[in-house]
Amino acid sequence: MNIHVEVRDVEANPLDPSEALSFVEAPGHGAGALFLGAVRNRNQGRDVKGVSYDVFAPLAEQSFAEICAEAQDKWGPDLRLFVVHGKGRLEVGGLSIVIAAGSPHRDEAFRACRYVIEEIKNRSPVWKQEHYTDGDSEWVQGHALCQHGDQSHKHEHAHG
Amino acid sequence: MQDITIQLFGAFRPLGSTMALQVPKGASVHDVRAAFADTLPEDLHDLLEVSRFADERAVLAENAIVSENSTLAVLPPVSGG
Repeated sequence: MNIHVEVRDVEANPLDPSEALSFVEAPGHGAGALFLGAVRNRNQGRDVKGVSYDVFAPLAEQSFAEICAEAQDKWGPDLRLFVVHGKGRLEVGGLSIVIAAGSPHRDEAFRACRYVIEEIKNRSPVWKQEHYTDGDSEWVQGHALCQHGDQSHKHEHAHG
Repeated sequence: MQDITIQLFGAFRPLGSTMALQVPKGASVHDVRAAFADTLPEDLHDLLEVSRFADERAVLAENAIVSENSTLAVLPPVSGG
């Protein structure tokens, strides 16, 4: 299997970039690209101390697998992909998502890594609740999901 | 009537992790949406309008028929990554 997708409880098991890079290595692969998403200390003018991630895990993993399969359709069956998304509470600097792509040449690896993160942001059932230094918490406004059979690989999204 | 369960996520979480609903046999996702709306406080109605219903495999069309004892998830706009 050249695709690994997972939702993980980050409070018990923090995400590990080296695990992602090891998975996408192969003798014929001259390139590996890595994307890390981390909790930022400021969002829309407010000081953030942490973020809680809520995930509908079965559908999220299904969407990651579909997105990875689309990437292989675009950039070839040799592409190896690793996606793990965190669930639970993270403090500033904590890793919420790790994506790695391995391929024979760099162009496919960079493009696939970018494609996977952008599609996850638009399509996967994950929600962020920001916790602010003033003690307040809010769910982040997100991207409305498309109807079944009308996913983003069949039309262009205006949002980004 | 039939019993179904709605799993709640994101900004619906303050209501709990699940909600039991009764809908007529042969109800569509659209009917489930209306029954769920009746239980919601006023300030969550706008969020429901931009939310979708799903099972564990896919986001469902509004005219999909809901089977007996099924569990659906209500998915507000997403903010992963």
